[in-house]
Amino acid sequence: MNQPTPKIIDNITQYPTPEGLMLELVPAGLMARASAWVLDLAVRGLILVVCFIPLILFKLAGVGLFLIIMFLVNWLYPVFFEVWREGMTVGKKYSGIYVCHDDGTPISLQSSLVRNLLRVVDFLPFFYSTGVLSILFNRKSQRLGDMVAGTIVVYQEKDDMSQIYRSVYKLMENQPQAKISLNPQTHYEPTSPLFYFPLTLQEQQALLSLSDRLPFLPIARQKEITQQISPLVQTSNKLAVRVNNIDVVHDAVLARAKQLKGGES
Amino acid sequence: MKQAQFEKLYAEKWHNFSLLLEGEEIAENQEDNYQFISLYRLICQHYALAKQRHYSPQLVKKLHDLVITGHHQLYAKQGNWLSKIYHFYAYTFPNRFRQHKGLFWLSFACFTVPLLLMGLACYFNSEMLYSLMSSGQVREMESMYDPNNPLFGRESSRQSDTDLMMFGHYISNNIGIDFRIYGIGLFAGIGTLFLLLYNGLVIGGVAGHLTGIGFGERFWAFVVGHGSFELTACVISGMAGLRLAQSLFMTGNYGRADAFKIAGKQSIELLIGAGTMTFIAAFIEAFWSSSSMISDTVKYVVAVLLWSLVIGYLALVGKKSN
Repeated sequence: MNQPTPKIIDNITQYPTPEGLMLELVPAGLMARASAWVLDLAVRGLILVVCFIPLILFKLAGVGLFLIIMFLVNWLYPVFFEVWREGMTVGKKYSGIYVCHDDGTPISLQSSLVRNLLRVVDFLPFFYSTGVLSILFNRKSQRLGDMVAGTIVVYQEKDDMSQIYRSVYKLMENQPQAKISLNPQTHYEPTSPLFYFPLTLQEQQALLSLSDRLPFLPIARQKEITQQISPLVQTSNKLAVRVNNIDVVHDAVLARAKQLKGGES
Repeated sequence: MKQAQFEKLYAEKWHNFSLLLEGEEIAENQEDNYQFISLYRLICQHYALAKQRHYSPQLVKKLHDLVITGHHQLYAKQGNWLSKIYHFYAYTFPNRFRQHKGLFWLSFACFTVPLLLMGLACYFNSEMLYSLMSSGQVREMESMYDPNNPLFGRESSRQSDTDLMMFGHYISNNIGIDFRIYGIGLFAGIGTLFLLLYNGLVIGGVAGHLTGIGFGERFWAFVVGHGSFELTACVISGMAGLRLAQSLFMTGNYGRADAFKIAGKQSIELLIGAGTMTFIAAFIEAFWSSSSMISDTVKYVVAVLLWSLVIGYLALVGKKSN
């Protein structure tokens, strides 16, 4: 496999699937999980209070029902949400994380029960100290319950990139676009080494990434960004002289990006 | 191949696949019953290609997301809920129980030996129980089973109220104890053994004490029925906890992490069974054992039936493999 091994700082776990791929899961860190837990605690409290008020009217029978509800909420609240709500309790959903098996498949009832009943152990000796230490020292950020259940809490992938861009830039998709000169010959001679993709992987990806983002960016922003990566198009002497002209750099970068992506379509 | 060309060529397939993921039908090829699988494999291939050819991160990510969602759907555990539940109680649980007989007997011994010893001690020495419980608790316990106390069991006026309250109490308390006995087993089983021992001592102590001071008649008629499910379930919870601990020391042919996972799967099956039994016990205890309208003889007859039901279930059910 010539997969690039993730750097340690990236905190990615990989799981090989039967189709010969490496699934990448990003384990959720302590803070995301802690905030999810706190929110869930609040939700559980709220459920109990809401149930308690009408039940108290039924005196002893109400107390009995309340005890049952309390038992269910205390022990099985996370199980219910994890199994029937795609691995997300209310708190997890809010924190953008979910729990799945460590091979990336949805969590099963048994695994969910194991990891939630073993909270007893992770809680010891006080306030989840065992669980916290375990999360901090485990490469997959698993607490003891997760290790036994074979589960992992991961960040949810935001699947619609354009949605993210829209939310970031508050822009609609049909922004007026800069006119891109589609003739690379204007800026590159075939003799230039740049013509044969001598860019490093990261540089190529930066250009490609930019070209995918263009529809969501206003021209002013486009120019600002293209200036940042202008060194990528600066080998031709002609261009180097005129590098102060923002429009030219902009055009050159966009043309380069188009060329990389195969722009004629 | 340039990225734009690649996208143009396969965009329709990706779109079709995302439609399939959302549960919609696609009209593409009706004869192919395995559209999902074949598309999924194709997209796995595209993902690998896109990565290898260093297409833009957005495209790689889009394909990765399709692959992950497909992976989720393809490998999700499926099946009918009812048949799964039936299969669990008719086959999985009793077989799992018999598979780990040794652990059961260990758990049984840790629970029963202190129970019998403490029971005998308290039977012959009525002071003995105070070493375990405060005098207030003992007095409360005594008044509950005092033959001269007319308030024993249900009061006819508000019986269902009290029963329901006690039902809730038994569920939250007893199943909670089962869960704790289990969970604490992860620490090398010491916690489980301690809890089994402690519960054995208390139960034996109370039984011996009450019998010793002559309150036995009421006490035994009360506990003998639901005890069948409750005590067995307690021992099985201990067994589940010990199964966790076992994987810490005896990993078999697996690495420790994998041994843990296997033990987790097996032990939770035992615990679900134990929890169900405790639930049944709570039901019997709240609505049958506590009833003062049923004569003791009937209670003992039913108790014999219940005990043989539990033993028969654990020993015999699910022996034929299906």
